[in-house]
Amino acid sequence: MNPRNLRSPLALPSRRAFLGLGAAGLSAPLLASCAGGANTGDSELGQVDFNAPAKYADREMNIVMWSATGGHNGDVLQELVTKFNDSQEDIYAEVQFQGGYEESGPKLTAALQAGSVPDIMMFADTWWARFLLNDVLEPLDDYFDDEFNGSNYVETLYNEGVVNGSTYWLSYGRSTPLMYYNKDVFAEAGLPDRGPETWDELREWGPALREVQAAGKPIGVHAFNPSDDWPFMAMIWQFGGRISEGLDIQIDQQGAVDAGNWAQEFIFEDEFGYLSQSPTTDFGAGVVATTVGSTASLRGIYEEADFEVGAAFLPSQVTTGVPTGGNGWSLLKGVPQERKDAAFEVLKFLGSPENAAAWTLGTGYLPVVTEAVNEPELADVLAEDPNFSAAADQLEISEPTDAVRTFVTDSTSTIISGIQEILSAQSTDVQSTFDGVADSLRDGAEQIQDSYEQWYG
Amino acid sequence: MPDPIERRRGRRRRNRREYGVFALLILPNIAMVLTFEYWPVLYNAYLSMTRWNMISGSPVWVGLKNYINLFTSSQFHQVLLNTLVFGGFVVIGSVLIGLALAVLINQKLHLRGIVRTAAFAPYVISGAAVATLWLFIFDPNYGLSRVVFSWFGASSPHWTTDSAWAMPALIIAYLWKGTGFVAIVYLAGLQGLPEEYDEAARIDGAGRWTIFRRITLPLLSPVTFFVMVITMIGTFQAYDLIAVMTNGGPGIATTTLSWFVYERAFKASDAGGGAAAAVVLFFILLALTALQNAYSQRKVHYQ
Repeated sequence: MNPRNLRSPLALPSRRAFLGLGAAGLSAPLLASCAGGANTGDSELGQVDFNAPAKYADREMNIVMWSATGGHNGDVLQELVTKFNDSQEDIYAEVQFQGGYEESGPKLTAALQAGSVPDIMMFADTWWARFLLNDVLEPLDDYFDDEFNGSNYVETLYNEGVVNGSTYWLSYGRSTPLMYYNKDVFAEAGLPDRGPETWDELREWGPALREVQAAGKPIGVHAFNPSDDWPFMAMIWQFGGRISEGLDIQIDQQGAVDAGNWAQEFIFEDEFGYLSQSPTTDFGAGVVATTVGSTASLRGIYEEADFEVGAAFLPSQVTTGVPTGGNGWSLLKGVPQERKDAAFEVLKFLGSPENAAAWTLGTGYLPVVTEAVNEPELADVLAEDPNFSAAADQLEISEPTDAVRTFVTDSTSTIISGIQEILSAQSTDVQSTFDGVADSLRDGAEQIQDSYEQWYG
Repeated sequence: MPDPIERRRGRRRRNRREYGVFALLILPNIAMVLTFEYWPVLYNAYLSMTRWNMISGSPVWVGLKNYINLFTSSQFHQVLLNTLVFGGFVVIGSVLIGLALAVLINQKLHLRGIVRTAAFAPYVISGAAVATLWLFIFDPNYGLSRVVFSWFGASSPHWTTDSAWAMPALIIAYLWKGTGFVAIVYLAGLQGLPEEYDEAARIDGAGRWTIFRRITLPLLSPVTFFVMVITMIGTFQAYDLIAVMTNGGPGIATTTLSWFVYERAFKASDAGGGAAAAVVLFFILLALTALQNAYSQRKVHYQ
């Protein structure tokens, strides 16, 4: 036995190099995980990976934006950002679609833990403030100048992103819910060409609508949305209730319970409504006569539908109720200053009247920049298409979403779960279900009470 | 001729060097296992005794509070029940359908190869794709389900948005995806069975059903046990189908333990609650694995 035989495999340089590589590869994730664990938001944050096309590869700054709008609206955003990239030569901005709000929000949490984040984050109106309470958002006040600042925006929408006089969330794809109705079906059923004024009126129209056949069976009267509590919150408002007033939880009180009972009867006793996996898809496919959807669904529905689409104000019941919703942009505090500066250039570009108008035209989102409605193309469409102007007009009676949805981390999924329970089974008791929802919302509200008062007190 | 002491010393040195090489060679694997297996388990156990939203700040020690919250919440009981129902039906379904399928493709049929491939194919398709496919099938407005129910003059249930139907929908999709694997395992088991017992029984005048029930089935019992444990563990880890098909809803009708962990930790930003549920999941899986080990060492051998 020659000892050399034992040594020789290791003595081969290639092996050694190989092992060395392996060791290096191992220590990297170890170090990374240590750094991530220690991160408290004060240290400088890294950047998530991006992939700049050759054309933009030599730009001085690279900016990553996380978006929560995919599909058609995602394409419109991409077009605008491409336009930004072509409009100058210093900054490359990359849009990365991260799934809907409920998916992209948690991803940012993970990214913050890992210590590498996007530079611009699209938040739903119900998500950004959760991050504000944890003090990870950058105030935008110092970035504004005389030309581009808050006064360019529709005041009520803009103010939702302002806390203690500082702006943390810049409105972008803002919306209200609309009542979409199938004009052809309404005509066939002998109904007037307008949305129902009250929920009870829709119920009265039910039998006439059920006479109309779609794909060989009676058409559905109304499709409810199981994956969002926003339209149902509107309904709660219309029935005189609230999910919360400030952080005072009221979903277990009369208006909300009335709305729940009404919807349950409408679905199970009248057999007019149903919970749909995708209400706007069903509506666009012509299998249901009405649904409540975001203004931002308008373009998508236009593309899908081979019938005439009507978009009307939301019905009222004991009162009107129109919540604003949608998304806006935030920057993250821990990102190095030069990246924040570059990131703001992108927001500025998207917030110009011309580009804001293109965004509204392409998607159906509300014109958040006041001057946008004077851009000729958008002005024409608003004048000619009542569906587009319905959204803008309805804005006048709109109010910001109930606070609990914005601040309490688990709130929207708790509320959604409760709504699903009552709308998916007749046997579910509305009062006791909403009692349960209210209990967990109160728990959640209690946990954030201190930081809430710190910011809003 | 070297002196014997010198030789022993040489051997010792050589031994030491062999250990050194050994240690060097396993180091990457050990480091990998420590980093990605044991450390997360320990860290998770620690997190389960804290309160932390994962966005900022650091975990705050709360002792057993998360566990108390879990076990006193009726929601968590429902989640455990869902997990059990899902696992139970999938296990029973996989065994029955898998065995039937295996017996079928064990025959000397035409195109046997194609049939086997077709039976196994769903197993290798990604869960997200399978879920999307079944969402189309289950769609009450334009899916295959609508057509099938209309043959009987009925209208399709709203599979994924009706509390009573969502769990069955999930079980059906999961069975479709997983049964092919079970069938292949059973097929291997069937082909490994000795012929003598069959022959003996046939000579004694036993019918095919009797042979199957009294001889084949008992001989297959180690396979059945293996399949049951593997399938059960699989259902505890089911995530993809739930994520795409139901998101754990409606309400919490299809929220199983693994989905619950994800919801608590990442959607509700409650690292402590999620971690505590993960510890529960860990111990359930540990118990199942121990059961499998204990059984496979004392399994019934007929030969």
